[in-house]
Amino acid sequence: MSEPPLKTLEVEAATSPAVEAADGTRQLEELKRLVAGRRWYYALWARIMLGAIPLVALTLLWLIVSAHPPHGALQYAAPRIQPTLTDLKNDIVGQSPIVRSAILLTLEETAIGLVIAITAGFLLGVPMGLVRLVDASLYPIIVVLQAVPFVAITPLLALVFGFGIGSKVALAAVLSFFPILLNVIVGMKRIRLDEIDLLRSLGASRAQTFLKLRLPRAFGSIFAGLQVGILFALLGAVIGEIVGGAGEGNGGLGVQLTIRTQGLDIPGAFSVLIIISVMAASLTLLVAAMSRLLTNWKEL
Amino acid sequence: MSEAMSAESTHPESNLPAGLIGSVSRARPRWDTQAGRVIVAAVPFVALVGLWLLLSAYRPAGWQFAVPKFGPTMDALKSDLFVSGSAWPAVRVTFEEAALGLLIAAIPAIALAVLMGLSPLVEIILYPIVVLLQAIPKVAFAPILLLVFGYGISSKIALAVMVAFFPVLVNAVTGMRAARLDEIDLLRSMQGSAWQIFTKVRVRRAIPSIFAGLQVGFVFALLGAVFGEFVGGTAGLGTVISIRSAQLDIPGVFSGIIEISVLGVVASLILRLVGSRISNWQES
Repeated sequence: MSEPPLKTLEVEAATSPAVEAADGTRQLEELKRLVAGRRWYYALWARIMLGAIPLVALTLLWLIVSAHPPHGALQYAAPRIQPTLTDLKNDIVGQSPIVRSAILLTLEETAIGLVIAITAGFLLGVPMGLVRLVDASLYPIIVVLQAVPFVAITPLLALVFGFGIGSKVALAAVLSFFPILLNVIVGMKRIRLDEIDLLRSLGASRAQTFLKLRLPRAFGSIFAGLQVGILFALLGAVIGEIVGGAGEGNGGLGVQLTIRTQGLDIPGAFSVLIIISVMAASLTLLVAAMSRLLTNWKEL
Repeated sequence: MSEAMSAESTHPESNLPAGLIGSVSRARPRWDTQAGRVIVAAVPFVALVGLWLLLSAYRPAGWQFAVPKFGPTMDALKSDLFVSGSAWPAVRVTFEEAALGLLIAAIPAIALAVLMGLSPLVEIILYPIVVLLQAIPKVAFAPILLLVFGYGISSKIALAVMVAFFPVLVNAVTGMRAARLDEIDLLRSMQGSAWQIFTKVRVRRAIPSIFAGLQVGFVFALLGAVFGEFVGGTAGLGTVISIRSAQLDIPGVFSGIIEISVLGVVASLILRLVGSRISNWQES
């Protein structure tokens, strides 16, 4: 393939496999919409019913396993349903505030870590998206660092930042940084040459081009990054808590999980696992809802 | 591709007045040669090592855990890899956990993705639960897995399977959607069977995405393995890092972190090379 004489960042971004795949997806989605009238399972009610099947099946499976608990080590993976739900209720609305304060602590670590990652992601991602030299210089090292399992620094973080909230926030920030950064870069490149030309021909300044074109266009991608990033931040907080333990006080959900598991309180441990899972699902839904609110106007 | 084409075709440069060409088309900068790209990309790596050397020589008080001395870290690395060679068994254990975890996760994940790609009904049934389960931080199950599978290698493999499954699945599902309608139409118009369309278009288009998924999946599996070792392990790099950090052997900890980073980067590179080899071979 001969190199085109004039190559721009925008065209590069448009030919990336991700965008191509998105094109294919869009086409298939259009096809699906076309056949939607003909196949019963594309109707909204059918989608909801069908999507609920695996959830119902999993619940049934839990009920069956709970009624006939396995022996040996497997019993730790199959808590009885009744005590688990009782523990869950006690944790959420019961007398002891330990788990409630653990939820707040873990959320706090996640949120602070995410804010740090977003700030760093923008500080690095925006120049990379705008200036080719910066992009060419930093992209390779970012690709390399992305393959590094940063969870390996967890014990070190506890030494550097102490056993309190600091080491958990740091891990949350480190783990959520890369998905956010990469999506900011992709978002910054998601514009077309003719759009830039239009704004330039109208006499728009660089700042105006950035604010009115690049940033709005990047929203979709940035929110996709946030959706992944917020889960990584939660992951970092929980990992930090499980490895580092509580500094003072009762610690976050990861600490409570460890304490209960070590005490062989399996229903209690699963209650915490359910809380963590619901938190993760709610956080993703929250970002998805924000994304819809903020980006629906820019659809072409 | 079509988008790129249209972006380019809206710029019939020859038809534009001379003054406008300079403003719309940014010429390739002078550094943008193959050698120039390598040099530019090497700058951050060099700068990072330079920063480490600088901080190692003039270390601020209280930074002894954050920045190890350069010399002792290299000594620890040399001892780990060559003198005592104690790193190799640990690398092997962690690699085995991650690789087996990825393998066990990838087979059902790709099979499921193919089913979802072939049947819209299956996709409608499974998509919501996949999205839901994907969001759950699987690492939180580590303490439970330790009880179920014990302190040996199997609890780490189990965790690696859980964390690697969804990235592989989601990327494979994306891959199954990457085939373009006009390609499928072309094969149909040439009397291609459903099987031919599947193997010649959809699978071929899915391969880059599947390998991207395997690459991410391996990094996740490595995360699962190392974290599993932190929570309760008897062997592997995570255990080594954990023990050394408890002994405040900071050069040793960094040596372990460097080893595991190299493991992640090298495995990623290999998967990327294999992936691009296969898709190139399919291209011709």
